[in-house]
Amino acid sequence: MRIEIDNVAKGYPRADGTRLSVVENLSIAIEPQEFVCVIGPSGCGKSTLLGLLGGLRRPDSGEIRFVGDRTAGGPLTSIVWQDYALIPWRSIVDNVAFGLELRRVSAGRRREIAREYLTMMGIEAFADAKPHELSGGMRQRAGIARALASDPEVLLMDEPFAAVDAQTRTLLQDELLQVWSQHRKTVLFITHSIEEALLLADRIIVLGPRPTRVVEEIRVPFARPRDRDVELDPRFTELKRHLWAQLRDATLAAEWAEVKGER
Amino acid sequence: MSESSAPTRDRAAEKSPPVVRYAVDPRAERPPGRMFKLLSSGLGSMAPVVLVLLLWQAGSAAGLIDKTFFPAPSECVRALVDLFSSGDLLPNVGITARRILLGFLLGVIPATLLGIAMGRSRWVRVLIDPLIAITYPIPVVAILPLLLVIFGTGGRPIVVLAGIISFFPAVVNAMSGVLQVDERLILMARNLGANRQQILWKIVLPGALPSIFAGVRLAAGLALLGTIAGEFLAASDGIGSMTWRYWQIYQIDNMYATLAVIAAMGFVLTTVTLRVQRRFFGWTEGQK
Repeated sequence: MRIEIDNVAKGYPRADGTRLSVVENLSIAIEPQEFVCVIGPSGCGKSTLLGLLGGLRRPDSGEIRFVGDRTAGGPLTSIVWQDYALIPWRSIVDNVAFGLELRRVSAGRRREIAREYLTMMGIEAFADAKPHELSGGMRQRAGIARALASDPEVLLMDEPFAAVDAQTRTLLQDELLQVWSQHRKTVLFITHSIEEALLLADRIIVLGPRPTRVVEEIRVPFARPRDRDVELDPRFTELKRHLWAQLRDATLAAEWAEVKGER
Repeated sequence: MSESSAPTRDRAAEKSPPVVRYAVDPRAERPPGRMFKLLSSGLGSMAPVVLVLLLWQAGSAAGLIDKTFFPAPSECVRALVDLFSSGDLLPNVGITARRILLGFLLGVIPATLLGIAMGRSRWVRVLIDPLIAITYPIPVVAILPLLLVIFGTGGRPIVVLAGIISFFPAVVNAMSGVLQVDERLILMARNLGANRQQILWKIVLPGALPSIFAGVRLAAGLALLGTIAGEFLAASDGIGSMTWRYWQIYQIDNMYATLAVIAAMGFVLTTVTLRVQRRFFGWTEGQK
């Protein structure tokens, strides 16, 4: 499915009655089965973008279009959340089956499907555990399993590995590459990490400080199937330096804006 | 210590540089002793209670405690046995238990429904909140005369009193439980296509249930309180009215016996509701 973000604006009312404009004139297109990473400084409107694409917020002007036939059985999008958003009173398997439950898939069938995805993520042993019994990495594996088991057209990932430690993050990135090569969903992946974006994405979009606009857009040249060895490619270092130069200016501008109280 | 010359000082420093030692501390590592374990066990925790009763009994036997106000525990037990065997006690306990239960249900069911509605809808909240804020501080016992006027004498005003008293904690806890449900879970469910009903039944209610139940527990205790207070003042039957009557005719040992029965009822109520809470809401422990 092709996603067209067409001239979208979104703002929020501030306490003093004025309006904080987070996104203005934002236009991005994402091709079917494309893996797009969005990087940008804190508070640049990445989360707003995710809320808009996830159907949780509506734009103030412009529109977002999902173009093409529905091929998956599930919702239009499913989000993998930075803080997992697992339901604490449910077992892992019932968390993963949640999207199917909402669609009234029978209990036996949805558990069966959920277990397949747990196996795929390597956490079938924790099917009956509660989220708080698991490590952060395990929880996010469950979060990814839930998003995939729901069978959406588009996968939205909101800094999914930001809350886990560096070693676990490496493992999860490798696993995601593996899983994505089997389930080629359209992915929009929000991250702070240039390396992560270069490892995972077909295309990287750098957003500038508020009001958000696209500062830079590059196509990642590494072939798929891809693994961590791309870090050894000289182009990796070059692209990393180039992206950091773009991101650095945006980050500085965003920091100054924040200090000036434009938050 | 001599510090007459630099070379000497250097040598002394070489011999014994200052050292801070963190080594094994046998006191800190010691596990709790047998006595401590015994006293913290279920049955052992009764020991302080037994001790106080024994001291009371001994003080009474030695003439240190005025028996007219504080009859010895053995006297009270004897009075309790007499009341029980006379057949006077159990029917009154039954009457009181029934009033507690009815009052509790009368208060808690509408309170929980209203609290959930207040948590879900800001319109309901903005309309109902002022009414609760203004009626909550009224000591409910103070409106007992009004209830007697409305409902006449007998059990009814007492049940209503217990109901009103248990209404408040239930409504407040249900509302705050619903309001405190993790907003991110609601967003997650909406993203996966949940409708309002599904969000209510699968996220909001289960998430609010521990808080709702905490309110229900408080309400149960208050239903007991309201019933006993009502029976003191406005009933001719029930265990509370027995306590009041024995005070008035100055049968202090009987009064204590009925008080012990009321305490036991409170204890049973607390224990049962606590067990239910542990059994069903264990997941709230170890969260976050």
